[in-house]
Amino acid sequence: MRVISLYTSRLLKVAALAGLLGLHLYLLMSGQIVTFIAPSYVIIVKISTVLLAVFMIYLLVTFNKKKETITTGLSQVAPFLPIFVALFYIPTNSAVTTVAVMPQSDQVNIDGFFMGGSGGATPEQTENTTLDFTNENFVSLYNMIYSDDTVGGKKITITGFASLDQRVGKGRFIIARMVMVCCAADMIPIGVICQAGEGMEFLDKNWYEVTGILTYEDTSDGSRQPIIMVTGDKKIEQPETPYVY
Amino acid sequence: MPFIIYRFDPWIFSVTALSIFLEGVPFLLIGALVSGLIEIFLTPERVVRYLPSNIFAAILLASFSGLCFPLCECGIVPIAGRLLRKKVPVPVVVAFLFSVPLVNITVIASTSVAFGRMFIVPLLRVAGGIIIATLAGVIVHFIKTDGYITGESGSAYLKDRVVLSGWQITDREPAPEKPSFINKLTQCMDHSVADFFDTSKYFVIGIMIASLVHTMLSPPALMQFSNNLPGSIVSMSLLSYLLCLCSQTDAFIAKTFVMQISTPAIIAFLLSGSMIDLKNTVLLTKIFKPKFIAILLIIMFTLVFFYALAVQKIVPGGLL
Repeated sequence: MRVISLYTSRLLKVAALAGLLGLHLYLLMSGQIVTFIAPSYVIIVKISTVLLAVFMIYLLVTFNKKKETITTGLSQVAPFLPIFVALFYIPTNSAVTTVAVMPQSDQVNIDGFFMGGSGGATPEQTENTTLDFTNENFVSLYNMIYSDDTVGGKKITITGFASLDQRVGKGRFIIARMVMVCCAADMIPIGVICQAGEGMEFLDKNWYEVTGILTYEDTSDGSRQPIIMVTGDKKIEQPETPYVY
Repeated sequence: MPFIIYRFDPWIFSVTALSIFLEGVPFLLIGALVSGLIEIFLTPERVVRYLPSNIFAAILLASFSGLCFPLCECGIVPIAGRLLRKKVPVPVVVAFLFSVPLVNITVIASTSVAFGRMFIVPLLRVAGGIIIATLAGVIVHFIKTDGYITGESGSAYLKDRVVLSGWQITDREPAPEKPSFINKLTQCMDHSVADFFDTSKYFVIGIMIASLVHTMLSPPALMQFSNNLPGSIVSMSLLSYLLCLCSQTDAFIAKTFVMQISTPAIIAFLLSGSMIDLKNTVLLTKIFKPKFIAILLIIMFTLVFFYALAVQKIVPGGLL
């Protein structure tokens, strides 16, 4: 087993901790952390930032200590791997709309989309004449329209990427968003079926702001499926924060 | 395993790997910090003093001892060797080995954070840890274990640690009889930093493998997995054993499989590798003979399998 020098060992450890600390600080300060971690979990990233700083400061303070443990092999280089991965990461978000997973639930029906929800409407949401989906209320409104068909007939405005699939029916597409529960590794696409108006054309994986009337239709399993009858659409650029949480 | 290369998108790979890393590394750091505190402030002798004389009561107590030892499976083997040297019965040590990486505060916390509103997962994991550790201890009690313990388990804890963890210590001087509090804190930080670097390699490599698997697996292949319950339990148990993930962070990786793999298989993943994994198998050779390690592995995989099947009865509808 090759043993590296004491000085090199300490230097590598400090460099690894400094690199990881820099990565954490960069992601936190640039706001890019929400690409990886849901906002409600960012606190744990802040905790690790503090602990990395404590470990690094301790190593710097005791840099010239005589008694020392020397690590060999992978222990020295492993902490650098996430930094290398981060260097190769290109923040284009180009793959946001292409991540596909296959939820195993009765509520899944089209191409792995998680189409179904739970949780009733709040009094304010029920009273509103327009269901205006935003980044902040997307998940709660989504859950509401899948669990409460009394909101049928309301005007609806929703932003997302179009996913074309013949199985949803002729002239139909899914308006969808990627929802992050905890981190990017657990993201799933959620969406609502839209019935395009006459003469309207939607391109797969392109982003749209869709307005329409929310209707419901019966499905073979006896549930009520929300359908947006599209009355207007606007092609838009992918939002700065493509995910909802 | 029916792994089919479906796609490889470097962007998805890097985002997946980094997100798992960012989510898990705080627990690795906290685990290392607590591990350092335990090393210095809680000696194995104190644990031995509180063990009941009845073997079954001792096994049961050992199955809950993780609540006082928030260590992962990497740090527990040298302590187990130390306990054997103190004449703690082998079944009690086995229960201790199996339970501590699972039944501890940091693992419960990390599993709870990873699975969010799915409270049943940390509950099933802890219950599984206690049940399997207790049963493993009882089974080992009825096996003749004479000659299964290696001579090296009698060596000093520090020596064990040096040999087992691949560390080399230079210029080591005899420790002062009564180290000051500051000295203890310094030693604690030494252990913590060392633990962090020692375990991070398994963590990072595990993440890379898990992200690669996550990125390249074909969804239909995964669905095929989940449709075959026994097959998915065995596959995920083996995957967990091979990935060698730290029990304090593996929940974040298990979470990525929630949409694709059945709940019993997820629980099997969370139990198997945490108790004994590939790297731990090597570590265990320092305190047990290979034949006994093989017996332990058979006991572990069998108990995990049947526990996972029982989970299917408890949560038949899955986690969603």
